[in-house]
Amino acid sequence: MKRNLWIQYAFIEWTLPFEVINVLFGIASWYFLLKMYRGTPAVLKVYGGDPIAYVILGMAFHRFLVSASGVILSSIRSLIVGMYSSGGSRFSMFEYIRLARISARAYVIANFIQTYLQHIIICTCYLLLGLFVFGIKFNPSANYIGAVIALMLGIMACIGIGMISASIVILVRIVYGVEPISWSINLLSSIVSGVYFPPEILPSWLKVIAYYLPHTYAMNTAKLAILAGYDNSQLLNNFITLSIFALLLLSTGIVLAYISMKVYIKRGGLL
Amino acid sequence: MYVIETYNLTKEFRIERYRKFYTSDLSSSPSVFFQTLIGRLTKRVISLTTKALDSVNIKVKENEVFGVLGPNGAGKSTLLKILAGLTFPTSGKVSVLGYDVIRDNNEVIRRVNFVPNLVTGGVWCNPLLSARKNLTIIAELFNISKEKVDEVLKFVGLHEVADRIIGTFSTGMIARLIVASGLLREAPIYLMDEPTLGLSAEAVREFHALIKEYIKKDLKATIVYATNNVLEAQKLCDRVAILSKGKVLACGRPTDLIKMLGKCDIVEIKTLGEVDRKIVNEIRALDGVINILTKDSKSDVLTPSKILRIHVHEVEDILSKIINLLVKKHDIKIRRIEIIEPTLEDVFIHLTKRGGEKFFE
Repeated sequence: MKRNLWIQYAFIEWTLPFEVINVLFGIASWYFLLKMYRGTPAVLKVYGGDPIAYVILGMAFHRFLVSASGVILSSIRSLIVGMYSSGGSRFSMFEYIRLARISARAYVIANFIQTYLQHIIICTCYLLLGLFVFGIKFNPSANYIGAVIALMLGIMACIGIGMISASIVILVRIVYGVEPISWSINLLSSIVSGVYFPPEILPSWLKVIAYYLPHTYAMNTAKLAILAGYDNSQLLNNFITLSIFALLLLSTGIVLAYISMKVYIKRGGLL
Repeated sequence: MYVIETYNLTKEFRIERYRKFYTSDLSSSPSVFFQTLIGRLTKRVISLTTKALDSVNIKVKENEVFGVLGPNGAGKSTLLKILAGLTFPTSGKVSVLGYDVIRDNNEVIRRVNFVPNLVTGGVWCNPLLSARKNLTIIAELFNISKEKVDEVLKFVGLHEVADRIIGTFSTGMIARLIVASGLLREAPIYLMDEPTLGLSAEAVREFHALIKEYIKKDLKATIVYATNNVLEAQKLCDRVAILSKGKVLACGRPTDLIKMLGKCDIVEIKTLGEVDRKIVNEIRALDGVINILTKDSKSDVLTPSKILRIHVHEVEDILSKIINLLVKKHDIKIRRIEIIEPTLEDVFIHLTKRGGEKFFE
């Protein structure tokens, strides 16, 4: 545990400064682009009217959500693909942690927390740079608790997606390359879920996709809570939808992960 | 009473090969995923199955040192991993202390102690930490007291250097530390996968004494000892299973296995000058010769020579023919002829009916 905290410290000391530069330049390009088209689009009035604040929050929350599915996928993947090899002997990470009597569940959760913590720090950088460098303003009556609830439910749904993806990797027995379920959801969500622009402006066929993604509800609810100051009663419908997404995706993910790990153990390897 | 029993234990591994095409991973797209999927459907990806273990039946008695002897790739490590409950068999049944390795997997893992070898053991230890710190981390994982760490350090003779960073340790010291990591947790069954690989002769002797005097005698534990060193198996093990290509060829006490050779004499001929493979094959073709293996003599640098170890049915019948072939036909000078007692190594060669050069250590 202490060693892992040192790894976190190394992340803060070495990786974070460069990540901050990345975030800064990422926001800056949008900032200047949006400055070129000054004015408040009608579609953004409901979100407080500031397009820069809308985009910055969108970038932060989107990373917050997609990294949840990505990190859980990579944690499970590292469990089955990771290999300790020395001399003529080889141990898979799965065999290795079992020798140490660490459960696969504990390994995946610990790996998830450690890596996701780093993503949370980077997401916070978006918000801090937005507030203190690019001068965005949150609504004076911002509902932070509502935003946190929306994001937590969104994260739970995304963890479910990550677990489903990892199970597909194990069941289909293709571990290398990019897994298509997470890949397509992450790709679509960046366009249709309201990262840079509200889904209302999308053509109807894309809007249909948007409303089948938990990212859309999580981001829009959090933005409404922070930028428009919606209270929890106004956000109730979104909370219910997000809860259904979280329940369905997470339970499906857990069941599939359980089945796929059983299959993996029975096979004695990925193939 | 048997503490480990396997019935028709079979373990298969599958690998996939691309027949015609393979593009490298483009990292940001799922190209490899679909390529493999379509490759399987269009038979461009070939699936190969190899049997690491093939109908293995062994029974290990309580408080014995049971050797699993075989060359590299024989299936020793796979067998030990299954007995440790780390991987499951494809078919067959395995019972450890009465627990089924699949059904009661956690019970099995809890009751066996896997002692790694020196080269594998490196992954258990952090070279930047001291010996004591490394063992303390392992002790914390298994809820073992710190007093036990000190006790084990003293037992393996590392107590005086316990606080030194192990990156500065000699090979023998690291070996002792790895053994110590295995001894921290006392268990009724110890599974040792080539634990003396890379150790000096002195360290091996110390380790064997540790197994006999401490693990077997004091702890009254059962030891399954995988090795590819015949002499080690003969010296250390109460019983040995000879494993080759995943199959158990023979199982029993080393002396019984040697007796199994029955009417088989072994002639060892030391020659001056090289004996090439063609001549070896000529000897092998002689009526009455069972098998033959060769070895370079490393002891005599000035006069390069060869040692031929020949398994024959009746030494009286065949010896003159062999000498004639070597001396008269090929003009090879003979330095010494000896009729020797068969060893476990000869049993292995006899059973596998192969040259066995790699085995001759």
